[in-house]
Amino acid sequence: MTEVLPELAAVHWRPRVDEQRLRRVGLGWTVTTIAHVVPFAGAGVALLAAEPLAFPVTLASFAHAWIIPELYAARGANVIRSRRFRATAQAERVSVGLLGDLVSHEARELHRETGLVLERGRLGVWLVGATGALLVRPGGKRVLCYCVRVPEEELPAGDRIAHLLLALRSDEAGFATVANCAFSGARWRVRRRMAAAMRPALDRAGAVARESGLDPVSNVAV
Amino acid sequence: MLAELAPRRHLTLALASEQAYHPTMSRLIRMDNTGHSTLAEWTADDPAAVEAAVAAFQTELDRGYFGMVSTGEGHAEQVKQLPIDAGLVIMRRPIAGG
Repeated sequence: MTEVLPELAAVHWRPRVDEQRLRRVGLGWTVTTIAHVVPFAGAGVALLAAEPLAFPVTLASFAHAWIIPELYAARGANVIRSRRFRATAQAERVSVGLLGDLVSHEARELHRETGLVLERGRLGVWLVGATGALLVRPGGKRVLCYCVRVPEEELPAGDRIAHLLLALRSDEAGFATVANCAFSGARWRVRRRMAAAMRPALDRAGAVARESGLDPVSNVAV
Repeated sequence: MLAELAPRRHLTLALASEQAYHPTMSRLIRMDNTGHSTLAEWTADDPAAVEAAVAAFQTELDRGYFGMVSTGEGHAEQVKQLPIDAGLVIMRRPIAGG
């Protein structure tokens, strides 16, 4: 038996994800957001102060400061967007049955309502969808959005989730390394861009992450 | 009415008796475009069935699948040889970043 995800061989250049790396990624996204918001908002304020008649131009500047972070958050939420696959309705039913055997009653119910499976991990609380996963960090404030999938066109959605779930359970850090991080930011920012039907899953994951809100490294409440 | 039920009762008893004789029937399944397919079923005391299951497992490994077994709540492990004592072995395809 082995504990390292074999798919890591395909991304051998990537450093393995750990607590420190996740924090660095989160900090990087925060700095990126600030770097987009502050110059545009600052330019808008400065222009408005210098020339009040330039108000329409300052509006464009403020719009940039708002739109760019929103686009990033939308990109993050898109990783779990519902998609139609080529599988038959019968295959979808069978795959959901197998998935149901792999998860708890609570997770099964949440999947029925939202299409996402909640999985508690060492790095945080995961929400696994057919084409990606969200990681809600301990404390529940920050979310990392991962694009990860099974490159098979005809697999039903339930099987896709089961694939990701089994890989996640066998090597959580390896799973986060193989997956592409599309966004990291505040949970509320991702929630706004998610489909309404999926939002309860993120709310539940946030609550679970808050309940078990210990920093895995320092073991201090966050 | 009871006469109609009687054969079913016999069938139920027969199945129960068979399950009692084979208390731990293990399954090898592959996740595929049908949802999943059962590739083999075996019990540890049936060498022919075990051999068939091992062969089916190896065939799937050669096709690029990975064997997975659940090892408790929230845990799973990849296996490179068929664990005879596992209740359920699932074959999955590799995943990739999107």
